[in-house]
Formats: sequence, C-alpha cells, structure tokens
Amino acid sequence: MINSRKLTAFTLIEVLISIALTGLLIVLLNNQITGSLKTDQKIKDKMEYKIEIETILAHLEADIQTASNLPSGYKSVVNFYLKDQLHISIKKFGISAIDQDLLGAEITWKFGNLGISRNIKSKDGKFERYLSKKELQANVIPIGINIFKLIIKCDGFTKSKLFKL
Amino acid sequence: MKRNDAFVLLELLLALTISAVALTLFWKATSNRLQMLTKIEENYSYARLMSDYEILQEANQKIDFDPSHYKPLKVIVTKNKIQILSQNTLINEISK
Repeated sequence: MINSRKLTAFTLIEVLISIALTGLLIVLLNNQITGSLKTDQKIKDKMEYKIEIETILAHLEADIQTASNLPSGYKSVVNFYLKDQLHISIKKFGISAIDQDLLGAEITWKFGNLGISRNIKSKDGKFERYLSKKELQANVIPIGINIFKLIIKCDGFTKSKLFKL
Repeated sequence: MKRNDAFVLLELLLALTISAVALTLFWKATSNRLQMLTKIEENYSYARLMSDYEILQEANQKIDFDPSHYKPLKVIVTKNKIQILSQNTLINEISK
C-alpha cells in the first residue's frame, strides 16, 4: 500500500499560487513591453518632432543670414505659394563640390502637406532633401518691409519665427 | 527523493522582483529622456524668442508675441513686460 504523505508532488495551493503569479508576471511583462513601445513611439512622434522643427527653423535662419544681398541692401529671399506649398527661395554663394569653384546657388525651402524639403539648384545640379515628411501648414506674415514671420502649424503644436532680411 | 518546497514560488518571486526593477528603471529612463527633451526644446524656444524680440526691437516694431508658439516655455505678456518661465521658474524678464 502506498503512503500518500510520502509522494513528491506539488500541493494544490502551490499550483494555484504558481498559476496566479505566472499570470500576473505575464500580464506585467506584456504591459511593460507594449507600454515601452507605445511610449517610445509617442516620444518620437511628439517630443523629437518638435525639436526637429526647431532645428529646421534654425537651419532656415542660417540660410537666410548667409544669403546674398540685393542692390537694395536686403537679403535675396522670396516667399511664394505653389501647389499648396509655401516656398522660401534664397539666393546665395557657395563652393562647388565638383571643382571647388565659387558658384551661385538657389536654395528653396518647401513647406506643406508633403513635409519640409530643402532644394538646392546650382550649376552642379539639382538636389532635394526631405528634412521632415509629416504634413504641416506653413504661413508667412510680412511684418514691416524687411521682416517676415514664418508660422508652422503641426499636429498639436504651433511654432513661429521672425526673419530679418 | 527530497523535494525543494516552495521552489516555484521563490522562482516566481525572484522573476517578479527582476521585472519590477526593470520596470522601475525603464520608467526612470523614460522620465529622464522626457525631461531632457523638454529642456532641449525650451532652450531652442528661448533662443527663438530672444531672437524674435531683438528683431522687433531693432526694427522699432510693436513687441507682440503669441505665448503658445514658445511652448514648453511659459511666456506671460503684460502691459509693460514679458516674463519667461521655465517649469514655473522665472528665467528672464524683458521690457516691451
């Protein structure tokens, strides 16, 4: 006859606690993984995108500051709208990447439903670089003769910057 | 055969502890990342605000800002001055 007290097995309470704790652990880990993925995406979509826009504004400012001057003394910068996109066209001098000669280049920033792109047109060729591919709205408000305000409206935030020509 | 009582429970408790530590570390890292990104954005916004202020001042234009364009900075525009706050701490006060 077998003595049941000497059997090596888990008791019912042990099994139940194990199942409960395993379930809890799985739920916790699942929450942690999905939560971390969501949070990471949220940070990239919101916080890092805002900083991306800030760097784009700083980049545009640098382009305008280094633009060549018109006979009037103002910077050679023209704003216009084309196909629902705001274009900011800047003329400046640069160095050719091919023969290292001085060349004139036209930099066109495009803001609109396709995002933000910076286009360079020079004797070296045409180059387009997308700095952001998220849809946005951009407006230019003239303030005085040689100042304009660029307003960028994105999903959830608005940023503006004044540029002096 | 000698059975190790409460082995499963101990193992699970250990796993739970490790998970809790990992969770805490993750949230701490996320919180630090958010804080760092907010600070960077604030620095950019502050530089932009000051640049805008200088441009308007040089051109003798009316000093008028939309505070919502300079978030996460808190910009309080009064009749005579503009207060710039970072996380409820006054960082600069400029006259209009």
